[in-house]
Amino acid sequence: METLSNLALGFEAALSPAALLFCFLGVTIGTFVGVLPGVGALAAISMLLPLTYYLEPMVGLIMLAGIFYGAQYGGSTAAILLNIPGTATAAITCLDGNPLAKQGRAGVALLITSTASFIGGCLAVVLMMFFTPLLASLALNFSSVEYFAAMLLGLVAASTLSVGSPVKGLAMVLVGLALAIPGTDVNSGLMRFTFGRFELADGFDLVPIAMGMFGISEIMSTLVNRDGAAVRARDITLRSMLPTREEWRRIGMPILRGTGIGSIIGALPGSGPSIATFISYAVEKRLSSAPQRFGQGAVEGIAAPEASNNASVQAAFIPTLSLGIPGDSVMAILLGALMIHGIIPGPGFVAEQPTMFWGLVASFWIGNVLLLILNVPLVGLWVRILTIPYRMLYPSMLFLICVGVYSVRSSVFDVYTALAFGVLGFFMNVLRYPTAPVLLGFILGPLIEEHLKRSLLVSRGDFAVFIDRPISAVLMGATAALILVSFWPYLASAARRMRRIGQTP
Amino acid sequence: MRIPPLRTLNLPEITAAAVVLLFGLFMVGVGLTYPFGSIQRMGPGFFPVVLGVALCGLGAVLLVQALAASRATIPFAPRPILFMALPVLLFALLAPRIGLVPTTLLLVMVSARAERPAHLRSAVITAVAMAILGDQLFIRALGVSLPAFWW
Repeated sequence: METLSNLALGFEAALSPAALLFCFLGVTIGTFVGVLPGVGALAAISMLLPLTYYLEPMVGLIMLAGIFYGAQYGGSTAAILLNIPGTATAAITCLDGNPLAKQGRAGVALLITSTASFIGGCLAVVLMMFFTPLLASLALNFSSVEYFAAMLLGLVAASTLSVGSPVKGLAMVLVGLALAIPGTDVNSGLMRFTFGRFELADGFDLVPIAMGMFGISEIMSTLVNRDGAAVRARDITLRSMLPTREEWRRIGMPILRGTGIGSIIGALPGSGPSIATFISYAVEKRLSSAPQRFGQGAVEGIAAPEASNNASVQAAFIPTLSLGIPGDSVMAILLGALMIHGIIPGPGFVAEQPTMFWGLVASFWIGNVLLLILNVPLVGLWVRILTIPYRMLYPSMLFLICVGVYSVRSSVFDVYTALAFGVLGFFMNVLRYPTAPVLLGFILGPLIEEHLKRSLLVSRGDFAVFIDRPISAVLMGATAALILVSFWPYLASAARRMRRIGQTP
Repeated sequence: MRIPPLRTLNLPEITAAAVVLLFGLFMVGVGLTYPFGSIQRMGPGFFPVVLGVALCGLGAVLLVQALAASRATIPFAPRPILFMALPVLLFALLAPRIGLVPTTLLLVMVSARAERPAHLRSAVITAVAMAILGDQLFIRALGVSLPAFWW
């Protein structure tokens, strides 16, 4: 009952004109960048981050979140029509979505992905509604020891569970933590790593780092790797979008399974929507009575992954808002946006900021309904947007990045910072050093240092405190297991080499 | 371990690993100039030094891996990088001095050259549209502290 009255409170906040307007703006921008290949949700969110300085924290958060889940809807449009994933998470949707389009059934595919996205998103919001307060109440008696352990697990999971080399991921988390150090030390008041530059007295700002690494570098990478495929707009009528009765029947269970898989994976730290789509596609293919249809335009093959990525995007808010530990870089930026307004998300967040939490939950439902409207009857509009040439988009984006970075602190130094991180991010992309862990490390850096200090102060310098307390022990154990698993191949090959050296005299 | 001849080395990977290692050393070097404290009462230098040591360790692992990796070409073209970096530099240098509107025109025109062939017409349209947006939205509506023109 309490949940319902809270939800009523949330809807009241989310239906205020400002909240409604920015929810609409967020999901529209999200669909826009989702549809356009070469512009991701992360870039859009970093670019709009400065705008949240002018907004109420809840309204800003509603908008940024709207971009994130809106992009999941839009991403499938480009995947189906062009066989180019508009967002990384839509890559799987290409497999069966594009064959459907080639059979002249693009409309059906678009309707199915939108429906699956809607159901997956809405069900995951229900889970979020119940699990966030639950997890938060469990975490209320966390001390610095548990916080340190939980943040460490979050960082290690985010860097080792993603695709690519776990060693590179871990190194990049450490670089992120290091980037958080410049500035005034809270305990001693000493200026660290500022090298006499007054601009660094408050440390690096989140906006130039995020815009550089995800905005400027993304444009550079797109320009370097482009193949310049031309796009032709196609007209899609509502009538051509209706699936057959048989198809409706076939997508029911896949959507539910996709939602389940997505919700679990989304709530775990470090594993984002991409992994969720891969797993749910694989599961559907395994369970299918006719797996040979997959890749030829199987409706299950687009319904399950789309439900899954939307569910995982919504579920990612559970650890972020209940523990204050972001699971991926988008959540890290949202967390950063809250911190800008002086709100530290943690176990107290739901209780202390009920309007904001429940307003956000309510806005997710409103946003998902808006997205269904935007993506089904108005799909023709987005198809036409696919024809906007990139050569007009990227100079505009570069301009928005420059003005946006400058506007936050009226600082030219921040513009240079964004440029430096843009070039750095480009070379990191090229060499497959992941950029997301840098941002996570940067945002959690000050908190993790503070909690480590406090834990060891209270325990009088005894590291055993991290294994004496049960919750912390479990978290530390999981961290150790992750590190061991990710280094296992190297250890094993080193051991094999040693043995071989031992055998040959 | 025998190091293979230079031309078969994966130089970009080796450079990247070396940068990680050097960055670790830098953290340790600068971190040691601040009070280190003890484990119970950490000084401001403690955390940077610990991070630096861990970075050196991971950098060393990456370096060993990179030395063992075979040569590979990386997707790289200097043109987009140059013509994306230059406009940002111009913005930082010029926007507070000559104003947002002329800087915007310059920024868009220069960045449009990152791609070939250059389309003059669409670049001009984009430049004018962005200049108007900058003046109306950022200066008028949001109150960004930049002059529109130099006068």
